[in-house]
Amino acid sequence: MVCTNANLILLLVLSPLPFSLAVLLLRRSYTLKEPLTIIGSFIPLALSIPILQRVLDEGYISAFNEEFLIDPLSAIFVIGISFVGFLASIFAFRYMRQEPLIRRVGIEIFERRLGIFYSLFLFFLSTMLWSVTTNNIVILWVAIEATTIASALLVSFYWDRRGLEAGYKYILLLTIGVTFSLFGCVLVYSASAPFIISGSPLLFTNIKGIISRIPANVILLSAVLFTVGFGTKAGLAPFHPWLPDAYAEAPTPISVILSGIMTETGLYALLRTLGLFLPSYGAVASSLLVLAVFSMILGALLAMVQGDLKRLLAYSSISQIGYIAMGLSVGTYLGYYGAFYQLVSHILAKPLLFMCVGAIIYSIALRNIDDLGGVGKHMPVTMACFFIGAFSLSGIPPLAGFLSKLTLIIASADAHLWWLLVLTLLSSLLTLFYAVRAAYTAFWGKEKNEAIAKAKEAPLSILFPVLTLSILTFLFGVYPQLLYPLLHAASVLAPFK
Amino acid sequence: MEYSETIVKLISSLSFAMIVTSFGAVTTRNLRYATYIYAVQALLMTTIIALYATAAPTLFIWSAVAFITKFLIITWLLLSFIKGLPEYEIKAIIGFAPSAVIATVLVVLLYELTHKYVHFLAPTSMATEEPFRTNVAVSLTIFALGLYGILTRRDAFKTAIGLCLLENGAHLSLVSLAPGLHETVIIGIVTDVVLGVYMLLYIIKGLREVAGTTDTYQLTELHW
Repeated sequence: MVCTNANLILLLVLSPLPFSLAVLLLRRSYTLKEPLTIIGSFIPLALSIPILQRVLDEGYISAFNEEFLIDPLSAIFVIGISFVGFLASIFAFRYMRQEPLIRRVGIEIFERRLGIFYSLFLFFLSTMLWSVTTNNIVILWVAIEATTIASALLVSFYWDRRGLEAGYKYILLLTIGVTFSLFGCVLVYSASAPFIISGSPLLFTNIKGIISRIPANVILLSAVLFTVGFGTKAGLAPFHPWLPDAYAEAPTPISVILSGIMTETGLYALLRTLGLFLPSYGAVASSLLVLAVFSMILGALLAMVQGDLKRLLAYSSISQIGYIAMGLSVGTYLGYYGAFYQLVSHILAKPLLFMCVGAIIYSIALRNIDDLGGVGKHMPVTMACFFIGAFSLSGIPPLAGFLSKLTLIIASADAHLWWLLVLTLLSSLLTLFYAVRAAYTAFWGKEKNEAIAKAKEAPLSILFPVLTLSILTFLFGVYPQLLYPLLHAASVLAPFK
Repeated sequence: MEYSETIVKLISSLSFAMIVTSFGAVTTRNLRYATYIYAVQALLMTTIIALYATAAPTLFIWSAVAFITKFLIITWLLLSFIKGLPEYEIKAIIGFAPSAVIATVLVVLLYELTHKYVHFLAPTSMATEEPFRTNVAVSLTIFALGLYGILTRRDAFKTAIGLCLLENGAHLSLVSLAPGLHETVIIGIVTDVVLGVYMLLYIIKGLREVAGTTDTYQLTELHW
């Protein structure tokens, strides 16, 4: 088969689906589910490398009359989704086979459920890849809503009261929120259609060319609808109430995906849609900036009062997503560069931290900070990796999070937004406080629970993704030039004020 | 698109009937009746889209899609789900009388506002003319009533009905806002809607089995 752009993109999006179906059909098998899932999530990762190469060489690649388009911005998300998806599938391999869960539901029911879990996992991966490769504004909505549908049962996987409550809030709030953005997509499409003579008025690339001809009232109304809709998906405050419960109650591999790539996919949709207007409408950027700062501060403050490590990380995500949105709304080259850098560092650090918490849960079935203490003595590798993640999140050198936050701070100064600079620093200090406090309390000090004495490092299949993410977090902090070609290309293409 | 006066009047009457059914589906406490009222609304919507199709034949496909998904599938899903549920919903946060007052105020205000200032909402000049103007106002009113239902009902099943109404409002608005949308895109949108409702009902069913209730006030394990 000739490796055309169309083949590459189609394979990227569709390759997890046959494996999803196979896993569903073979759900009673004890041995095939995991290998099939790992292969199904590895193929998109393998394909993302030639795709990245072509995007860097050609500027962008497209297929099917530009219905699909991957530019440097999409490429960041394609790599992020396929990379974290692959690592999460390896992490899940042993993690999902924990004895307490098998004991609770029985081995046969467990095996069947696990089959459905992996099948949905791969389907979820495919919908996220679809979201970031489509160039069609309404199909973007369809794909984003599909990610919610694919993941609702994954959030409720444990099928206990807490998991079901989280799943109920998740699907209800996200569906309501995202419906608002459907109105926005339709308004923009409809307003553009009369001005687009050749080509489809549904394509972003065509809409962008005539955006100045769309009436201002339609643009402002659409911007509000996009912000509410895709902002809910991105977990921006105050549209975030679904997020802490979903992150905390989902099985850890799903928390990894939700925190590392799914909310970012929502942010991608927000950037793609609002990005149409940003060059000419300062009010849109200003409104996004307000939400971004609110998310940064509120997320950090709420993270400080959490006792459950997974909930703490969930609130921290709201704050970190706020940083990315902040950079985007500053709207300068540096702002975009910082935002994309922050995106990469968050895609690495948050899954890393969730996986470390998962390793603790796997080992001793505890996750409340107050129950922990002294775990580091028994799990030194997990402790070291957790600290790397926590320090990166807080912006401590020489980790990726340091450079991303530094770039954002310089971008604020460069734009003479001194109040923003102060608030960003304040939020970083709050992050440092809650992240280090959580790490210190959990891993050092006195052992507060008998179970901790029996703690030991998780198996290699759990530690491998943890170590990989830790190494990359360090590497991208020490060698930022590794990311430069892609981040620069994405920042140059991004819409400016 | 040109419509005869009779068609315009018929569309307007059916549109108002849709608002009445939205109110009925939200406030009726008997779950089976609420579902039947939803089904009537779905049929009304199908008929309205078919009437629009008299001047734009491609909309007949939209109408058929709405009939299959909104009327047949979603009604079937809702009816299957209420088997085994109590006859009446868990008492709502706001009772019938105040609900009637609030919903009436909401309907009148929203309808008047959207109808009067439709030029602010409408992306094209076509959407500011009748019968599209009324359609936009009615769609947004139904959307708002769906949201009102979700916010004021304690019974998770009624929140699912509220979500269906909200989606119906969004779907109906597409006739005026984006009549040129390709059928495959419409099928994509309604597939998401049907699957979304199915997933929500499936999780509510799980909640009922595990927690023994569909009362959202008792979902207190996690804080909102």
